[in-house]
Amino acid sequence: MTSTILAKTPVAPAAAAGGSPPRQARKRRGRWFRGPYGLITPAIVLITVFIAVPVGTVVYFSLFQYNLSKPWATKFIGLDNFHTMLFDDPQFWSSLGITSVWVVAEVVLQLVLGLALALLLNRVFRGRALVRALMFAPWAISGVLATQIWLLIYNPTTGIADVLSQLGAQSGFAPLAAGGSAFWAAVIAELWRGLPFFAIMLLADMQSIPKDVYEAADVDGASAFKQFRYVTLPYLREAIIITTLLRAVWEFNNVDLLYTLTGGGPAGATTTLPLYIVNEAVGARNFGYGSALTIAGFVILLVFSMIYLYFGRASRKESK
Amino acid sequence: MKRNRVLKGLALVAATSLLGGLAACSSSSGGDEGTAENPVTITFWDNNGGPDRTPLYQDIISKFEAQNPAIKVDYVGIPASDAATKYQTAVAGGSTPDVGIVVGWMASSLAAQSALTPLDDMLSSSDLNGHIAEDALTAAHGSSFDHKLYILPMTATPDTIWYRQDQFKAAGVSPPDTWADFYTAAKTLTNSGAGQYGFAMRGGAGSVNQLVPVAYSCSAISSFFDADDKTTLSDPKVASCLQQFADIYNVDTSQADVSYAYQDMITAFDSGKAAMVQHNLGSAANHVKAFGEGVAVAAPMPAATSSGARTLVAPTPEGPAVFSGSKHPDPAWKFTQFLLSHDINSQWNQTTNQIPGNSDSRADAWVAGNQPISVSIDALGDKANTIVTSPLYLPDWNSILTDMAQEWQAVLLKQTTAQQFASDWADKVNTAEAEYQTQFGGK
Repeated sequence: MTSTILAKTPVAPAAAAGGSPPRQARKRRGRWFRGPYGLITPAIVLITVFIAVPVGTVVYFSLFQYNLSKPWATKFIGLDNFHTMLFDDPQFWSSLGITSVWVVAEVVLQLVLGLALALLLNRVFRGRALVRALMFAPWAISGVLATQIWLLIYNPTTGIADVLSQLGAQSGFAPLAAGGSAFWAAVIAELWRGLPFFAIMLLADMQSIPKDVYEAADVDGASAFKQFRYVTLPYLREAIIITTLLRAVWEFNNVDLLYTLTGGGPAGATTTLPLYIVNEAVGARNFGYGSALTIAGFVILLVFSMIYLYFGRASRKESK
Repeated sequence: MKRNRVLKGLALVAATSLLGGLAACSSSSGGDEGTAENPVTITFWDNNGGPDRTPLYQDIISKFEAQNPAIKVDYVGIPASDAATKYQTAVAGGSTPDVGIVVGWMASSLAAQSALTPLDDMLSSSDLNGHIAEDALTAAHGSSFDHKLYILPMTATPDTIWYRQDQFKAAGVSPPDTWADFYTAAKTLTNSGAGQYGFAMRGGAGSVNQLVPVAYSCSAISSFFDADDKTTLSDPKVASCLQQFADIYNVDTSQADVSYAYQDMITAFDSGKAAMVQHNLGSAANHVKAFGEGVAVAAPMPAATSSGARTLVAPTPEGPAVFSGSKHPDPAWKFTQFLLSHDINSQWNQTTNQIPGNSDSRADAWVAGNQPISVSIDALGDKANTIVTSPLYLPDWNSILTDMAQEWQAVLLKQTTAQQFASDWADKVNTAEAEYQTQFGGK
């Protein structure tokens, strides 16, 4: 687009000849220079106000002992918060471990099941439009509403545990009450909510694959699996890279469902890094330390995204 | 050039109009607020919004608005488990209400952030002066870091054990007069196969607040701090009492109790699935609604089994506070006083079944005939009983209680011991107390 504009911009003969450009040409060139900056100014202002200032504020607070409950104790402490976080806070490492398992479990399960669902919905069958609409429903509802649904399901007196006890299984089993089961109960609830994202994105990409590629594969005698492996998957590569990256970032930052479903409990079994930040910054009003934890999360996501995109690009080059 | 002049002219006109508008705004905001000439709307946050309190406050607000037609009160109900966080978030974001109901354990932290208006001078020149019960005022003063008055105590309510009198009679077990009685009843009234439990335990949000009365009534330790200003929470007797209490989890309670917050715990009791629950008088109305009068009965926190001595934790005050960020402090104070007036305080406490903060309301006939309130007033007034005051004045107190909640869940799940929990809790309190002493130089 830029080259088109440049090509169409008339060049004053004097300027082209290397002499002093006439006034009108200079004015036009000045306007040309002012134009792009003028156009990107709103974007720069918005990015500054909504990204640079908040990020800068968090970085600033992370260098302070800053607890809202004790305003008199506020003071600059340099990198002490980061030192505490890395060397004296086992809960930071524990929450980071839980976050890693959470992200891997969610992204892998959502990708595999979402892909399977997309393949299913890509086939022609009666009522396909209705099934597609229904499948999208969990994605459309809020995390808090999803929590309410799953709280009822997990409630020992109304939900699945009650059904199991009526069938003769252990009575009073509460999936959210024990450390191990609470984590996987939360994984299932989030899986239910996140699955449609992958299914819809992959289905959309799947529908853009030219039919004649499959026809050619058919003629060559490729089985359904080989068609999936050598036609469908390569075409979906870009969509898979982007969706898994986006989802990994979202799941890393997940707060709404976990906060309302388990509150990070029991006994910290579902306390991911963002929930730990909430507990520190909002619960304990320890904004200084909460800011340091936030910076850690930010850096981890930044590094992860860069590495992920680098490998994604490398594998794309190899396939070419 | 001509165009530039026109633009400059327009800019001047626009700026002048803006200034004119501002001037007009500032002149219109002068004069007394809440009068026919200058009506105002104030925001009121209820810390325990829900089907019980919301209609009550709406009725009270309609009475206030009828008496003060130029003051409109916008009611905002907040779930009890989120109230402290909402207030703190509002303080951080500069969006506090004009008036909000604040519980004693929230007050010091909010006051230390200069979020609340000191009410001492305002009360001394108010018609309410001399009509607030002395013990409630003392409790309210004791809940702030500088011992100023930040909340007008609508009530000051102690923890009690609520029990189902009908189930106790049917099972032939004694009321929970001592901790031995309590554990016997919890065991006897549990039938886990039928989903019936002796006790509903608060293991989720707010759990550690309720451990203070458990620790001191069971151990019969008579003071929160020893002579060296170290907390007695680290006393082995406290750890032993807390361990015994934790050991009934998932035995005489349901497995789900580990995540029970206030509403879950009360629902478990009021749905008939638990025979006892530990809570203050604030849930009385729910029990009456669930079972009718006289079925759920209140008993003071049990006496220590070994000595038979009864040790109670001083009641926690609760009432309206005027937030310092209020743009309408006079109407806000007017509404605050209204909540503490004789008739309204009586209505509020009779509906919620709590001890009135207004001394005139305490003399009303309904108070004498109310079993939970009479029992609580008698227990607090009995000279044989010991009253322990928890350090509500520590700005960190609420953070410590919140911070310890997950470790208490670990005790319930047998991932750690009550000894370790009590020791960690004591460390945090001692650190906070030392900081407080350094900063303010005394209680």
